[in-house]
Amino acid sequence: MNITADPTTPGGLGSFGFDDEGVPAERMPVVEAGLLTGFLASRETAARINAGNGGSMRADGWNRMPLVRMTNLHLEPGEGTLEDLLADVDDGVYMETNRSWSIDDKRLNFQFGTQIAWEIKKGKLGRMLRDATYTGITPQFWGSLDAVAGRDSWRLYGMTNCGKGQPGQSAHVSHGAAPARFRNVQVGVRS
Amino acid sequence: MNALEVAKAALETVDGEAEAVAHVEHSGLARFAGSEVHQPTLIENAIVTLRVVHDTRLGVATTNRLDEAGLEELARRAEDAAASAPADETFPGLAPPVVPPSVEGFDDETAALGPDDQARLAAAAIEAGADVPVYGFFTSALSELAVMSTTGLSVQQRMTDAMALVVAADEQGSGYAEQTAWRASRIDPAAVAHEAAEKARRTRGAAEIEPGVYRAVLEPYAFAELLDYFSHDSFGALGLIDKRSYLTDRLGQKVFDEKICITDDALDSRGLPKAFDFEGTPKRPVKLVEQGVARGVVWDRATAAHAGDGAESTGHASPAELRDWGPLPSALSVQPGSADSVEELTELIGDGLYITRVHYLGVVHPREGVVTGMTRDGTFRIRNGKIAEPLVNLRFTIAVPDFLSDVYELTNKATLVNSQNFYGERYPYGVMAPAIAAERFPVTGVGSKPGI
Repeated sequence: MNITADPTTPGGLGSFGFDDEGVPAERMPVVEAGLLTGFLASRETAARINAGNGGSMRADGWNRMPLVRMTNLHLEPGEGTLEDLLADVDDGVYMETNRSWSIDDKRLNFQFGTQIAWEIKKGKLGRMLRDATYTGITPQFWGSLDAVAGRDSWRLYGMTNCGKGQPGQSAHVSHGAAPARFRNVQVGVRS
Repeated sequence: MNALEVAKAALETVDGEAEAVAHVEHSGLARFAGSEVHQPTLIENAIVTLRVVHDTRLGVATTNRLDEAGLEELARRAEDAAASAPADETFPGLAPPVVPPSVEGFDDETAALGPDDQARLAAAAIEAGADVPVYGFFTSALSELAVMSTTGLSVQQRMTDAMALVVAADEQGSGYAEQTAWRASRIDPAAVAHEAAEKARRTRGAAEIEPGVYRAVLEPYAFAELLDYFSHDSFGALGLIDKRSYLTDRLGQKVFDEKICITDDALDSRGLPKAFDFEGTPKRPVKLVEQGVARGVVWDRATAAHAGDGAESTGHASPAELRDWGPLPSALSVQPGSADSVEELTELIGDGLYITRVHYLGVVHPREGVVTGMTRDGTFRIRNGKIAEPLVNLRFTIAVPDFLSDVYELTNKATLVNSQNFYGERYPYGVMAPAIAAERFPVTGVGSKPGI
């Protein structure tokens, strides 16, 4: 697992030349080979933790206070294709395109719902599934990552309404990712 | 300039058919974190949205540059947008001239509050937190909304609002409280902080429980937010037309417990009163659910024209940037019940959960009203009719109609819970909700302990 924050990504919704404190945009690793190695920061918080110059302070308008928040946050590609990932799944679910999001205030317990999903049986996609959901605890979920597809499958996704702060602010962010495989994920939670 | 003058100036830049919606804000927010004043913000802003009509093609543009050149550029951008827009054959035309209803919602003393006053009121909250660090804000504002169009429509409303919000939290626990009103004199920041801090102290040493279906008492903060999220798909006309609404094909049917009566009433002086919507149409109270029976949804001009069959706007047009959602409730009000207190509700359910607040809701399945989220800042076990040990934050995945279909009772007093969170332009609105006790609250996971 390798995660990179990169406000210089061409075409990224969270791309900029400099942040709202005037710090130039800079690509930086956040997770390297599964180890947490970096933090998004402001000038103030970077000084407190002795880590770089900041560069992640953004406000959603001229009359809002800048917050430390995501820019473009990417899961770096691995190797192979989606078919390679599927081939090693005997019984699973292929989730596409989140449509609902919920995570607790410590960003630990999450539940996401998808627009569409597919059954995986013996390494092949099967029937379509509606309203599939998946849930977990963040470090356990990411700890169960066992494969990421390669650069050819990597795409830049994004959203325009990432919320943060109180009073709330809304930001444009992008996430680059390739299909990824996780083991032993709880799926299908309904009331 | 006041809002009506801003709207008039924008409208004068257009030759043809057009509508101008102007919003003026004078606000202050005294924020605090870790019991220290932090990031105070004052906003003075005026913004105008111009909608031009070329036959059935509509173009919209917005600016807060209000000099002559700025408004001329605004008109050019709106005209360009209209020229490139597809024809909307169902466009019902701009709203006709009206005399809006007379409403309360403006208070001279609240309008006059300045940064020193806001800081003083925030300081009262900080002091009341005592040994528990507090995070939150006191804010107050004067805002104006005006809608003017070439039909002769010309309406304006001046509004005030004030809010104190406190999360009291340390490494062992957390609590929450808020108060909102259009008269700042009704807000007691010290009481808000005291309530939050007292709850934080009681959440220390939180335990886990097994997922399952529990009886539950929800405080107004939790109930209001759950209902607000449910309403986005289910109580607006576009959801009904799109068949996303739980009320689709259920109007006239019993959908909830007969104790449940829900209206949208922007004229209610207990809330944050509004006289008209963002098309200038007068606000009407709308019965959504009456004794558990689905009665209706809220409409704007576009959805009413689309639906036909006698449908009329109820005065619920959203601001232009939210118009894709269609008309939305902005003054939900749940009729109180007969319980004198939340303690009476806990006695009624005997064994279950007590939930202060919910967090980061997500709509899992709009047609079935399924919502997921986390509890936070005050989750407890109820044992033998009393609030007992604190619990960790709980994940729930709940079909709101099922939750509302078996209700023990509601408290006899509704609380105004702020829904705006001050995203975008200041347009204060909220939900009037009592506390509620119900038979089924599905817990589908456990999270972390309360606290930082």
